[in-house]
Amino acid sequence: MELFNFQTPSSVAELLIAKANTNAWLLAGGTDLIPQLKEGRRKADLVIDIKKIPAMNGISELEDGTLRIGAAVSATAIAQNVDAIRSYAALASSVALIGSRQVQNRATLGGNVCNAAPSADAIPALICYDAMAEIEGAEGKREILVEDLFTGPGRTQLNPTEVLISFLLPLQSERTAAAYQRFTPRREMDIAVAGVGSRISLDADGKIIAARVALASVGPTPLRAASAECVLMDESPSSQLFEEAGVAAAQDASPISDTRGSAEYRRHLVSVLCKRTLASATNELLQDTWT
Amino acid sequence: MFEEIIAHADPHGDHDTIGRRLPRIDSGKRVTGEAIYPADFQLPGMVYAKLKRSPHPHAKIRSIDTSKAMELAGVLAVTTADDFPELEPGTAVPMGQGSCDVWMVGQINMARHKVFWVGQPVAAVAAIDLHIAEQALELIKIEYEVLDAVFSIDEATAPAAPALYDSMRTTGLDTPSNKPTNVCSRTVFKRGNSDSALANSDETVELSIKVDTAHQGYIEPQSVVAQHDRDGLTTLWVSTQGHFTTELVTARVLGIPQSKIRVVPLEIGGGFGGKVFIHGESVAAKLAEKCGRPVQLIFSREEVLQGGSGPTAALQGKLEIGASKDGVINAIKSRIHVDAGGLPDMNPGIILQVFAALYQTPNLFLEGFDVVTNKPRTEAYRAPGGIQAAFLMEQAIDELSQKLEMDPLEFRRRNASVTGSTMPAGTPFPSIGVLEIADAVAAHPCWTTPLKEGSMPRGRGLAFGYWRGTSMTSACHVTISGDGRPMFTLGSVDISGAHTSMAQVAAEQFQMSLDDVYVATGDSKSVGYTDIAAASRVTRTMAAAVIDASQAALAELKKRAANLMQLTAEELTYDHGSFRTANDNGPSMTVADVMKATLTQGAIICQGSSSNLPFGVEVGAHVCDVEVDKDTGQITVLKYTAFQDVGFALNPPAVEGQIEGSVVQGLGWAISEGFDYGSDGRLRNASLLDYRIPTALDVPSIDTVLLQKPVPGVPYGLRGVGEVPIVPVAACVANAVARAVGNRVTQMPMTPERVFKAMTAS
Ligand SMILES: Cc1cc2nc3c(=O)[nH]c(=O)nc-3n(C[C@H](O)[C@H](O)[C@H](O)COP(=O)(O)OP(=O)(O)OC[C@H]3O[C@@H](n4cnc5c(N)ncnc54)[C@H](O)[C@@H]3O)c2cc1C
Repeated sequence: MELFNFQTPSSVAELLIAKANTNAWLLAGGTDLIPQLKEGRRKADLVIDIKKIPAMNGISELEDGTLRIGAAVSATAIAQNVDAIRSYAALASSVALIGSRQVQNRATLGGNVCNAAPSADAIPALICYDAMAEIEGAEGKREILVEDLFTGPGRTQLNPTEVLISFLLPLQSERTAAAYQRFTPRREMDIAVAGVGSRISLDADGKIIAARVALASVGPTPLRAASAECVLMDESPSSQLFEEAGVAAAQDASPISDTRGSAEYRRHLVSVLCKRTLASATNELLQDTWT
Repeated sequence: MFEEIIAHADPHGDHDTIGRRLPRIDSGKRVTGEAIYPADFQLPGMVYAKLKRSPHPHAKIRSIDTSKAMELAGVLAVTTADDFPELEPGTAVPMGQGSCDVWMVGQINMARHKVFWVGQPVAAVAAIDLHIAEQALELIKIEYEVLDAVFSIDEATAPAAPALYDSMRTTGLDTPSNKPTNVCSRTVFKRGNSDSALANSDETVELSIKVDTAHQGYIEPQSVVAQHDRDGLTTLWVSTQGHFTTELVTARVLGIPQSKIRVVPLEIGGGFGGKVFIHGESVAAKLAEKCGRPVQLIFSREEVLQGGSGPTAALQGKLEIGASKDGVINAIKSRIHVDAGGLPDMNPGIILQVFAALYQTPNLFLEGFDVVTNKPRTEAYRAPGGIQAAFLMEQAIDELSQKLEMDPLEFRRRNASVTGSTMPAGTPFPSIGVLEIADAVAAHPCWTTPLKEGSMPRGRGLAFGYWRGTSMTSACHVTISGDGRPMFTLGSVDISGAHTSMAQVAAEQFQMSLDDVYVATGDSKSVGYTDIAAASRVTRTMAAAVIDASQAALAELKKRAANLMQLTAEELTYDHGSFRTANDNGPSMTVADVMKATLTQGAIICQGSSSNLPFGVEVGAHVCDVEVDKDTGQITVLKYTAFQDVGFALNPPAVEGQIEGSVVQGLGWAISEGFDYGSDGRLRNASLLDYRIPTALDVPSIDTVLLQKPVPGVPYGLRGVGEVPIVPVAACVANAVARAVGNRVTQMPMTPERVFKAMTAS
């Protein structure tokens, strides 16, 4: 690791001034950044700790029912937050998959998203809930869908002056459920070979009126499986339907072969996990009244 | 029947210390971090070393320019192979029962002329801090002539394969060839005629397997502190399985007499065979000499995995086995290739034994080859080669029992080796308890309770394991302190509780409590030559040495007591710290009083040593239940039970810990651990994230069942304990998987993807 300067701003305004420096990197939990610096995969002149900035460190419910989660909130805090557990269970359970207890105590949602690993476990759930990212930089504020943030492995839309302040999770309709599952050879301390998040919303007749299927580790960025969602729309949940959605999702994936798995196996895993997450979400809504 | 204990040592038979469940005497400082490892060790003025490693898997070193690195402020010394004497390949020093090629160990420390794998060291620097050392590495300019490389047994043995060594010719061939080759040697074990016996068998099985290279997975990376003092003495503070071997080998690699080097073993954070050779100790010593400051060298995890240490051999092989209808094996034939990595001489003989030990057959043909490839030189790992060989043998046995529609336990029982049966090398077996273990399995709930159904396919596997272990030599000495307490200095390091078990033996000998005996490891200059802590040998052989030394010291104490009491030694007996006459009311004298009266009349120093004790042949049987996710191929081990004949459990929790640890290591390799090389010869999973050692969540509860069938001629009847429990693990899991899903997985580790492929292959 090479030498760098270190700052701990206490407001977003101070943060933005510091971030205007060239080659400044934010440190949230540091569970991605520190190994990258140590192994020489990233060089920083300035490292800015954001854990002391109130606007980035709380979870609150807004008037319209939106849940706002600060970018520097830890995985543990999200996994234990009652609002998150009740209304965004797929997110609460997916952050609890990150690394280990110790890693979760440090790791943040903003870090998981801004590190932009295709394998990041919290992103599919955020996409499923149509989460927005609140961004601020030299040119002011903007909000964009988390889904649209990613431009490549480790790359986001954020320009060098911008930082991610918080996530906004819209209120979900009544009969909505979602689930995220990943496949890893080990039961913890592992990186997804493939991951799938699914959300369905049902109308009064039990028809699927909204569907999201988001994929991890099977493309250069987290992906939405548009054709799987098409398969689901306006249908009633059934194993047969989920089977078809799984097949479609596997086609939507564009995996590579690497040390964690072959492209072919990854596609297969996408279909399995797609089916399983849809079944899990449906069980939550209908218990076992469906087949 | 199994609890029969023979303790040759204590005539009074009150075992206050041996055979009891005791915590390690030094566990407190280990769990609190007080114990000192080389990475904790500091000396005034100490500086830091880093190795420059080869980026190429196979290349000639054209030139090395270190001048720019030397100019960097803060750099104190740079070294390359030029600073070391050039040794001839095959320069042997004795090691255990064989010898060790110091040329080879030299190449592991610093490449000369050529590099054979990615990560082989080519230069090193010492600097006042690690940042400067790292920057200096980048200033060392090396010109390579890159050569074609081979990364697998198949590539290395292909007809047009580039040869790593121009001079290599396969030894042991029936018709010698004069062509350069990557096949170093051929080893054969043979009796009868296996081909015709196979042709005449009622049932046969043919199985081929492939096993990936794996790492021992010790948590402490290689680390050392070296000092070269004004008087020319080099001292190394090391983490090693054998400081005498370290001294011998380092002296030869440096070209210095052994009178000029002392090796002090500190705590060792796991070795499992991977800390027998040196991996930078000689380089740290050379840098310390060049810069006149103590030097610390600690490998990073990536260095450990990416060519800085010796992992264990990949293996591929085929086995054919035939039996009659009534389940009697009449032939075993096998051919294996072992991937030695980038340096030659990895004799597969020790591995071949696994195919011919537990079961008897009149016809045998075993052929083993060791092959060089452009990967790190492999080294030992807990029963080296045993788990790979058993993955082949015990799966074939299982498959054959299925074909014969015979209970796999019964099939093994019908063919089991018993005491006096032929060992692989042709000599008779010393005490071996395969049948007793089979009986214990047959009676145990892990085998008799039906397997519960799950939502996914489940199966129960059985596999046996064999390991011969060895004895070699161990030494210790004891002095008696002024208050009559025995102070032992051992020649072995404590890699798995040796200090505790030797304190137990010493306390039992002196009929004192554990707190009354002092036991420590001496450095290479303060105790007699002792072989490495490996091969399941330390407890057995050091116990013999401790008993030897104790008996001698007690005899000397008795002589002094008799003198003081004006009696003859014959009139006295020793009883819990006192000498007394046979008459209950007669005079007595404590050892404390003996020493009080005689301390200044001369020290009591008694030595003990043991060599060539009878083998403590190890046998184990494992049973496991697995569930296989039929959609993903993921194996979940639900329950695991390990049976082992340990001869006598000196400290049962220590023995159980060895077995549990072995099973965990075995499960890791069986399911998730394997080296994955890219086409550029770089390890693609050189981190503990992608080199997947199991976590606590991946390991089921492990039950151990200890059997105690003593080995005659060994103190307490002790057997080796620490190696065999890794041998059956992968086969046990594979057999359970085969019974769950109906397909055999022949590639290890049995990763989910491989299991899935095996299940979906038509
Ligand atoms: C042992 C281990 C296991 C792991 N296991 C998993 C796992 O199972 N699943 C998984 O998804 N990940 C895993 N990770 C990766 C990592 O823990 C997660 O990605 C984590 O969420 C990162 O959060 P952090 O706060 O630590 O990020 P940091 O390391 O602090 O930051 C990550 C990156 O994001 C940038 N950044 C952080 N916050 C902001 C912001 N507000 N605005 C702009 N840029 C920002 C940083 O500059 C940096 O580039 C693991 C890591 C380790 C070390």
